[in-house]
Amino acid sequence: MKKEKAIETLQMDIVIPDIVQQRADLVFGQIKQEKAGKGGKTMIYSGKAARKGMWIAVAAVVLVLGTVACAAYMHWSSGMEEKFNATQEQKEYLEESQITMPMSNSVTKEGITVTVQQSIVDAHFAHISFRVDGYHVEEGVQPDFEYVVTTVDGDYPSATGGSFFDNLHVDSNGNFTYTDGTPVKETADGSIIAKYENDDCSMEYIMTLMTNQKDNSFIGKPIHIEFQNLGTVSKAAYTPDINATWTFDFTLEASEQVRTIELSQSLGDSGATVTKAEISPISFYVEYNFPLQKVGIDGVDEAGNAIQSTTFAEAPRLTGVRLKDGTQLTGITQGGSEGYNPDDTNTYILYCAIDHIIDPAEVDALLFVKTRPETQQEYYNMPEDKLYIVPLN
Amino acid sequence: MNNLVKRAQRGDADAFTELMQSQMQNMYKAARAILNNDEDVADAVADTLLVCWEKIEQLRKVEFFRTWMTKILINKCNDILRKKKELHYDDELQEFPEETQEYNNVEWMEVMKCLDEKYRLVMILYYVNGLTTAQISEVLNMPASTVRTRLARGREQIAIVYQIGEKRNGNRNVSEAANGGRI
Repeated sequence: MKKEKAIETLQMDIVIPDIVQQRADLVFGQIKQEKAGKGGKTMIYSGKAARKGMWIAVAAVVLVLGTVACAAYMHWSSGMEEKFNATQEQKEYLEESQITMPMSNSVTKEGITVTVQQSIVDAHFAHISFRVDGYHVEEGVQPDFEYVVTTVDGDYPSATGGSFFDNLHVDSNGNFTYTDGTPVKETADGSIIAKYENDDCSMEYIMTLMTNQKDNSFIGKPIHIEFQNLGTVSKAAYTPDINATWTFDFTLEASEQVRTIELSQSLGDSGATVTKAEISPISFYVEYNFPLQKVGIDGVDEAGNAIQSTTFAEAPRLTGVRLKDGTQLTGITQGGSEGYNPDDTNTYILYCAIDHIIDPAEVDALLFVKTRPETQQEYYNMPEDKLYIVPLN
Repeated sequence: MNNLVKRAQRGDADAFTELMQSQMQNMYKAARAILNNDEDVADAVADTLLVCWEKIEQLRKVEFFRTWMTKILINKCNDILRKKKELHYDDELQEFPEETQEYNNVEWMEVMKCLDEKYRLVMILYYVNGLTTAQISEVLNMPASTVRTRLARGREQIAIVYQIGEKRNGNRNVSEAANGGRI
């Protein structure tokens, strides 16, 4: 057998041993059962997600609770500080603009108090932080609510995600510490041990919502949140502990800070033309002219039978911006939504949260991925020849 | 695959199942390059599936799903190896045993046996899983130059073994070919 044939042999499909396939099938079955029992999980954005790179603070946040109206310095939770690493200048700007206000709506059940403490909102995304007092977990054990039900103006958001803050900080070199600066502890296998309890024994839960329609803005809308039951989670399995429901109703208020640009810029030979962009300090919205193209995907079902499903071609993704001072930011886009406008299959829409604070007025160009980078690191420093650059004049 | 990843991130268990089933060949072969029996591979793969399901929503870029999944799998395999070494020290741990089921598996294992343990995983990740040397470098936390060197040496090793094999079996292979036998 020649060398080339040997390599072909390495590559050819082999029979997966029964013991491996059966154990995998058991896991798949367990996951499906769990999902059916828990009512499903909808996550597009986690408060713990994407800790590489710089987290920069976010724009205006206001929560109006009934008739409460205060003008005082707003306390940033440690989780929101880590998630949105606001500079002092940005914090002062938000306070001076009176687009951030303190709040203190609390609910106590079974001796556990949940308090909504901060939110960051634009038309498409809402990030909300809650403080939890009176519940304790062992080191490294992850707490979680069994169910979290959220509606905005009576409708379910397109996506909701949330988790307890793990007090992990990532510096610009990708090194982990706890948020208090102490070195992280690790398990025997090298996994970092998260720390969910703060020094004052409180915990923090951060939730992120995404609106379900382009015109269904979060700003000014009433929000209803129910946290049902509290326990711990490990390897996709929830262990119940406290049976109770903590319910919140308030209004999401924020100032609209969106820069809208009408365009007609083609993206090379991709077949896509960018026609509109809306830039807020914490998210992007882009429309393309990109006629629907269906694509077949080969796959296998649980029995190993070949199946084919149909999906659609995707327009080149927005990855970041170039600022007027020449700064290029790529790899800053996070969870969001993309797809064809159901009423017009020539229009492709993408909107996504970002992990930087952008001054919309300072954006000079939008950057789209032309050639996918080979490594995650390259995503944050993409060369121009791998980008479609759309100047905003 | 990106669409399956996105659907799985939104909690679609069926999409997750389809996604991971499509990766079973890659997972099995990579795990087998590290572990020397199918029972351990079954444990590593099952643990990897659970962790992937638990953490997939944290995957920032869906395009990097395969490298992310491969990292998790390799960590799980190394966990198992470490535990075994803690229990007892065995010089034979790195031997590639003679377990065979189907004919395709026999041939595949023959090729794997030709490779030193330190070249096997790099060769599998490159030729089977389709990762680039940069991605393998990231997954194994190894300099890219080392990845390229191990690939080159892995290829050399296969070439040497099969050249020796061809020389030894030269006449017999010719006669087998003439009689319709397999070379």
